[in-house]
Amino acid sequence: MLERLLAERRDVVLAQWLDLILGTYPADSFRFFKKQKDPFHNPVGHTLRQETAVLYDALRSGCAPEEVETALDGIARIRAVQDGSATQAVAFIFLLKNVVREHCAEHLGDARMRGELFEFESRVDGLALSLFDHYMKFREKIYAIRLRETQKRSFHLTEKSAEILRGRDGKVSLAEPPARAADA
Amino acid sequence: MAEAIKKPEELGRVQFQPSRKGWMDPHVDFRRGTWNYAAVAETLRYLDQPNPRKWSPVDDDWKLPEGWEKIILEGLRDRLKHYRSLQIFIDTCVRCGACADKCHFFIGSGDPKNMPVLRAELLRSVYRNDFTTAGKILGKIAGGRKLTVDVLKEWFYYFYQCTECRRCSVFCPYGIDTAEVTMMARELMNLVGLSIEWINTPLSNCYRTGNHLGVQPHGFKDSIDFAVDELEELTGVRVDAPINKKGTEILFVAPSADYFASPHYYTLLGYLLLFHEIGLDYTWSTYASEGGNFGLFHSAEMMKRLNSKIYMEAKRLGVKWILGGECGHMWRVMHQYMDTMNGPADFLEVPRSPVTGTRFDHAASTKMVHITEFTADLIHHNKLKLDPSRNDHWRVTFHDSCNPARAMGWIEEPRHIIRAVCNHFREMPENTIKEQTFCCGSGSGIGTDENMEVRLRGGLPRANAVKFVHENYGVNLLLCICAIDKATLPPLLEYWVPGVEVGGVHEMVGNALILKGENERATDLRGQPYEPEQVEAEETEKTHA
Repeated sequence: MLERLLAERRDVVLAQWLDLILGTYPADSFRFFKKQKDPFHNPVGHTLRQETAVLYDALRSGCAPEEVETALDGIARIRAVQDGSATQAVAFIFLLKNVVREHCAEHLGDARMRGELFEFESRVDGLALSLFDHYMKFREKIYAIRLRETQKRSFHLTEKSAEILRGRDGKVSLAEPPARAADA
Repeated sequence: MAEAIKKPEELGRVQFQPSRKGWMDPHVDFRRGTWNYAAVAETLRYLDQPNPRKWSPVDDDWKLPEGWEKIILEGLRDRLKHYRSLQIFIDTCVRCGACADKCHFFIGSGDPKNMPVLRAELLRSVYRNDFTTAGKILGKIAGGRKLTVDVLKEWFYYFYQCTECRRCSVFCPYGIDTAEVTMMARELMNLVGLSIEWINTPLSNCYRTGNHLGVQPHGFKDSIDFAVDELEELTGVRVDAPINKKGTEILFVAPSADYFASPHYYTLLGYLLLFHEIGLDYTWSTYASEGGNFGLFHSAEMMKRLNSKIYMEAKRLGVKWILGGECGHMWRVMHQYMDTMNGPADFLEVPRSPVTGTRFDHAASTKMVHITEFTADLIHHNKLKLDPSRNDHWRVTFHDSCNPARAMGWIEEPRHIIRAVCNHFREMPENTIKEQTFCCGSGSGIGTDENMEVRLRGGLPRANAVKFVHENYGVNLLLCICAIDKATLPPLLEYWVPGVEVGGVHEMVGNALILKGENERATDLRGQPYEPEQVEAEETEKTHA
């Protein structure tokens, strides 16, 4: 019952959800993220529009886990470098609940609809937790990159200015610093 | 500064909406990852800069000097008199918004104060308040703001979130150069000792040793000698790389990263092979051992001080003209400021290629030519024997670095070279390249690791276009002709587009160049073994965009 409703109203629900998400940015940015349709001029708006549609379809009817992973990656990668707390970065997922509840309001007298809605909302909660994992993955990535940058800088200084890396054959290795597991 | 810990009942409350404060509210949250370390006192002293002290942008008290407001306002008055451009840029903007969504920092962050128009307004509002009649009488109503500590902190935050890339200027109907507004704001902040470590330390290094990294003459010679040895191992050919040699035809000046950092180093190898093969009569200099000029990111005075060594060294060595390496901002300095600052270089001759005879008349006054112009001319006249299949392991795309593309107009020269030395070249989407190119997000001295979040968000539009050609055409190498790009694009791509590396155009030239008497190349200049048998016949077909 809910699945059919969510399928019928897919475009409307998605548009409303996206408006709420973009509404978490300042007003001027909201207009730009919403109106500019060129994906190269507006990667944030484009990614959010594209990936929220994937997440929505996954929530209502299920889809391949890889698709969800890719969609969550796309969004988390952006949210991880923007201003705002971790909570703000992932909380937009819950905004979908508000939209869907509004669309179901007239059918909530039906026990079956209520049951399906509870189940749907639990899936939304699960997705939010999953998004948090992705968000953390990219936050850690940022720090791993910072660390690597520092290592690289000191590596080159050491390599070039001192004799310590000179092997017995008198040659200096120009190999990159070893990649760490955290960078993978 | 410790961040406030939320109480349990506060944790459940999520603020979905941004605060409604207007743009005139100057408060800035100095969140970790979004600002650069302050310049250390020692470098300020070394450069005779005011107010050397220990401070941090997250401190409440920035230890500003007595009467700092007056110092800045007087500084602004001086600059308005001195630079007609500043007065015009400040007065002509009608806030049409054409630039608003063109800045990579705004596109990536969604922070309205990253809109070029609004960023400039941070300075313009102070100008209005203190320099215009309407502002003096009506104040806030006329868009004026009093210069306060919070306004100054806001300047520091946002004018170090501008890479002076000038993409916004391309779209401005009045041609306002917002980069120059940023330059002026930074100059004003320098007057009260607000500078950043990543600019000031290279400056003081450069002032002392001639290059940003502080490499001394023997270290410089070691690096070049090492490259010569390595090239002999790779190619079997021993190249000559003269240093401080008097009476040669050409002085060659490259950014110091070329002989000290990776992947720049492979570009250096490319230069050395090219110069050897064409028998160029040239010299390196241990004094003019830096083409880049971080003075551009600090102040006109500092830029002039650092730049002076180029002509001085050309004169001392008695060369005829100057050739420069792959660098970005270096060329804004060389082409647009050097002649005025330290010219005329009437002791030099108009550059003429000794191989093709081409006279570079556009450099008739500066006497300095960029290596991509020089090499493109060699290729145009068919003077190089090239085997582009030696770059077949790379699927390349080209990132137009901001200054070469927008300040110099070098759009076709690098592409002409790439097409001759690489079989697999794909352009990124048209509105992300050439004069509309997106910045790496780390130029103008803000490419620090402490500022990584801002760099990554600012680099999103660039990386997003790279991602497109990576996913659709298998591009695995992003070429560029800028040393800052070569330093800052690798972490950017590691974050946004893993699997794409960064290289220089002359690295590709070095790979493809067939040298007289060379051994069969077993590896490319990175030491990566060639595996030609894996390249399928149909893939070798040219895929030029």
